[in-house]
Amino acid sequence: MNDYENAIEIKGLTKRYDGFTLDNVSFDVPKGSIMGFIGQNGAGKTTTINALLNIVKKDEGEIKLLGLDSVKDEFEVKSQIAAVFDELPFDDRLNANDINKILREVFEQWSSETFFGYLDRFSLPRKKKFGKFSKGMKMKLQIASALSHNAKLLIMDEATTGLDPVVRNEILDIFLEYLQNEEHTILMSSHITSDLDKVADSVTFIDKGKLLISGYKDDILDSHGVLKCTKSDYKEIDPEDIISARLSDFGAEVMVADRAECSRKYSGAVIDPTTLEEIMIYYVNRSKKEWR
Amino acid sequence: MDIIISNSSGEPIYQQISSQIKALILNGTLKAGDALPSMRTLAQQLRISVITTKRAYEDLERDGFIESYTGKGSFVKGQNTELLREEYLRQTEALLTQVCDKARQCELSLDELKEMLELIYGGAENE
Amino acid sequence: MKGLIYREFYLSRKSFILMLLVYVLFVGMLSLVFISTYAGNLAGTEGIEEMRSSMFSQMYLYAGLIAIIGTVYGHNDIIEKDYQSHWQLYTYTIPVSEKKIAASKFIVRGAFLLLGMVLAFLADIIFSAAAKLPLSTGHFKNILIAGLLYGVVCFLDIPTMLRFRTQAKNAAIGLAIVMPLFAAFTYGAHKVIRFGYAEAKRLYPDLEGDAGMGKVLMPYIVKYRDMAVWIAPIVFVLTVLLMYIWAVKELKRRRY
Repeated sequence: MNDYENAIEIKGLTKRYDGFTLDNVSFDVPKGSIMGFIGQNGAGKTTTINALLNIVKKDEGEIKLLGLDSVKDEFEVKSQIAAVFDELPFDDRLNANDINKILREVFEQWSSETFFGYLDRFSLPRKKKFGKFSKGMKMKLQIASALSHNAKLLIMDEATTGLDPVVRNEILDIFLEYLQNEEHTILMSSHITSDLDKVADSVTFIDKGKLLISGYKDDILDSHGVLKCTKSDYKEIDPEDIISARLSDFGAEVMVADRAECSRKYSGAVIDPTTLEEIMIYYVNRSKKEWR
Repeated sequence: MDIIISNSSGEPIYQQISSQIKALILNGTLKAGDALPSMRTLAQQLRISVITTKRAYEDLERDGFIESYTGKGSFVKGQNTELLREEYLRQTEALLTQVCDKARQCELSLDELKEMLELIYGGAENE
Repeated sequence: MKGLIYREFYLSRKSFILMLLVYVLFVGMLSLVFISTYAGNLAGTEGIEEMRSSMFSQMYLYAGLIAIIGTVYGHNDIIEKDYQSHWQLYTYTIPVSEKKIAASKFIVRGAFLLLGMVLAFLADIIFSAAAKLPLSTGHFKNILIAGLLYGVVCFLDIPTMLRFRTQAKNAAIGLAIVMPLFAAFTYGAHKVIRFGYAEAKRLYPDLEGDAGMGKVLMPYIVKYRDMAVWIAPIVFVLTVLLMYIWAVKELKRRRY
């Protein structure tokens, strides 16, 4: 068995397309944690995940999964990871029993017992064709199959997007349960940041192909804040402290990266704690500096 | 063991957890030798990050309230009076800061405040 | 790989069963017609013997086409459906090598093709029994060549579908390439037939039109057909190998 500290290590990942470049992205996902991978649609999340899974060939960079090289040791890596996409990749004409028959020949460590256990837990019918499944059922099925071959790393691309809050909640619970085992790690990309606000251990922001922030979610949330002040006071603020600012007829809201420092510098100003969603929005607008 | 966290209080969650556990230890609900839930279990139940619970436990260990053993878990440490006293001193200081703020708000002078304090403190002794 | 093979067979089964029904109906009904030419309604009618033998020399082809094309038919759209359902994407995340993914497709399609050819041979045997006419090696040779030729097209389809992903695109490109070839072939056939007529006029002036041409060309056709019987399997095997290598390459290219 392989000993490793980080379930995912990405160094200098670059992938060039016509009109979009994933540019020199590097970050790590420690073993036993859950990382939220956040960004707008088209920011490069799917490209990064595709590169991790070797679905696209990277132009530059090194990727290690579970301590193994993602290209050279592709086969070994794939028997220990599970990928979950936003759409069920099993033909609509198949049903759960069929998938069990198919996947138990594909994965050495497939456990039909575990799979059916999850099906029962999710109340998924075994003989119904997938074409008749609802979106939530399809996602639960994907997760059931992802968790049934002893995968140590779960990589999810927008898996919870498009699900109603109740189902999303159920699925998050399953992920938290999965993480009770310290050998398990999750990378999930999403633009529904409210899920990640609570449960993510670390967070990576990506925007227009570039890495913005990567770190512990607690640190990011504790250090950022939204400073609210009058428009005239806003002019007094050091532009170095400002990520970007939202101006309205009634005042200014400024995203700052060092809440403690700013509350000292601008004493008396209201600095609210913030969410990952706000951080994403303000960062995405950082080149504009001021926006409405 | 009940832990209640508020997302809107502005106080970092790991601090809320460590102060609540501290309180439970100080008021005797958690006794020396009691096992605390694992960081992962707590994180799962409260639906927060494991990093957060880890930090809370690390703080508690640093302040001498618990002891953590890899593979076994975390346990409440036997309290010595010195530590307890320190904790209570800290709490008293924090409360006094609040009192002074309030006093200034209603323009109570330091002397008037001292008077009030003697009345209340002396009164308590006479009980 | 077993799982992949099971999946492809399972998904193609409905078409296959349908074809089987049509096949059984067709072969059954024609056999009854054959039998009735000497034991039933048609017995004794004028020219019935000739009709029977001319039917025998043609019907096996239709039965053969139903069998060969029909068995593979269910598997034709599997690659397009795989792309649509994102199964293709999924296979890049499971521990199965590109060689095995390609191999599973070739194995399934090859199995269907083989089954189709067996059914075609079977139809001919049934017809020969029903018509009380001797088995013809010529028929078998024709079925073999037809099967191998269609097989080449079927196997070519695999790497090209992997490349072009939709049957529409695949067909469009296929047509663009085949059209000029087909035009050349038609032209060539036209020339040969003209030659046949000319020779027939010279050699058999008293035979009418088609009969004379047929007599002139038949020995050539038989000669080349017999050569083809030896060449076709070799070409077939080579093609399959080349197509397999191309398919694996295409899968490795990861065009996403």
